[in-house]
Amino acid sequence: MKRKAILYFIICLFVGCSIVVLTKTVNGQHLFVSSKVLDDYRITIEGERKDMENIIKLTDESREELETLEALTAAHEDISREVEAKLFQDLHFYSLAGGYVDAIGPGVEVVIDDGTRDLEYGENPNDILVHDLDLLLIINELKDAGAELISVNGQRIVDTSSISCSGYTVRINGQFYARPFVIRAIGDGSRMSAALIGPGGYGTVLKDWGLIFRISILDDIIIPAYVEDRASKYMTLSTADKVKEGEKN
Amino acid sequence: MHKKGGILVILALAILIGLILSIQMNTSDAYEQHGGLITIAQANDLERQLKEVRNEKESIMAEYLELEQRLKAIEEQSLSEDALLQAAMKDLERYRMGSGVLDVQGPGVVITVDDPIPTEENPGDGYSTIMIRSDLLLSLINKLKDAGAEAISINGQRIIARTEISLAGDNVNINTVPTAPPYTIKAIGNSDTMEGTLNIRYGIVEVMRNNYGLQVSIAKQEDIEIPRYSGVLRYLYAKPFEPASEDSAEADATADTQEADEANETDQQ
Repeated sequence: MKRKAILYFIICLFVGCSIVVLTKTVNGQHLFVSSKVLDDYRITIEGERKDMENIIKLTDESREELETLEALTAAHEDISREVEAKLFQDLHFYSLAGGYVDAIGPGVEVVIDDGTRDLEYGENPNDILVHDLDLLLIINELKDAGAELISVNGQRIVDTSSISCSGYTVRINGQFYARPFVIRAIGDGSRMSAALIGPGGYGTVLKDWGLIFRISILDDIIIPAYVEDRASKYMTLSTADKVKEGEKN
Repeated sequence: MHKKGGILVILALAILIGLILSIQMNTSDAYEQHGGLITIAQANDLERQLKEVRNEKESIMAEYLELEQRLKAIEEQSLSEDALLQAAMKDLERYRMGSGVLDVQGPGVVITVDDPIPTEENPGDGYSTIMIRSDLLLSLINKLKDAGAEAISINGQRIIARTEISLAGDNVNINTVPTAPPYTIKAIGNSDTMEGTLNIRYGIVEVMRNNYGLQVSIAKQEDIEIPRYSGVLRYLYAKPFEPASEDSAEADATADTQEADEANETDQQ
């Protein structure tokens, strides 16, 4: 009788122990999150890595520059000429990047216009009109396909450019324009046109709705400078020595 | 002897049962990973990794800023008196500001957009709503610009003239950097105008909330810092087209002569 009790005791002990061991090995906290949270973390980490790589590239460039200048200074050479050259080179580059000068280069010209087909019975006329979102999506796809500079109806697209429908007209950079819309983009013409007219490209989508969409690859596209007022009233250069990088997610 | 043998058998059985149970639980745990549930420990681990990467990035950024300051000091030392050069330096700062390659600060709004909370009636399909409808982000940013935003960033990515928001595979790329929700959009400008524009009835925020169930919040802030564009800008196709615009004609003329000088030099070499 006593033997049997001991036997049961041992069995219970083993089962108990194995349960304890098992809960330990699977990280016992029975709190679960969805796999989406994990994916989001992975993507964010990947993004931060990519961002870091970009900054490393910038750092390397600056270091190289600094080393050249310091080497010259050490050799007691006059570096003012080098520095001057760099200043004007930068001036040239950022006037292009910021949209302060006219630019020329190969690229594509996209023409979008309202559809000319008859409406089906009960169909909403909006289906065949060009809207601001259409233009935004086309521009976004062009940028994704490597467009360097873009203009819409002669308005240079800069960092603060907005495009919004206001009744019969579309306001671009604060100026009013009406159909047809001519978007010019400098960049790799064949890549940009392939992105727009390929399967799932937004140009194809617009054509399927019955809108007019034409794209042509051109050699010399001239994109004018941004001419509207862009004095900043609210934004100032960051005074803090170190701006906190990376958003708190 | 016979009794002892019995105990041994039961002992072996108990071990076997224990092993089977633990294997069973482990495999079902692995199954749950694919099914959509993960222990919080794994999430914590990823969070720690993210923090590490961010710290690393911050230290590299600090190094970059230090290098930049040293470069600037050298520049200021070697070009001081000439008025034309001073004007050129000022122009350069203005151009760089317009290109989005400088950190800026000012008043504005901070908007956060996150996916709907999964509920029992609407558990979601495992995809992120805001990532699939990234055109909503595009539209939101367009509205901010329309309301006079002077500088905008999403999840630390500065919006410049070339910024794209594209759904590529499973993630949304902004400035070719992969991003994931929650999205934090910062905009410097008139905060009242921007908030009013977004919050208008049947406007973008209401559509995002009511039609897509997204969690959107807008907060006005006195001082927002927006980081610079951290990518490497390259223009392989576009070239400046002469004549240059009026206000920078002088500076560009000198730049042109400078370039011509350099070209001559290289010719001589």
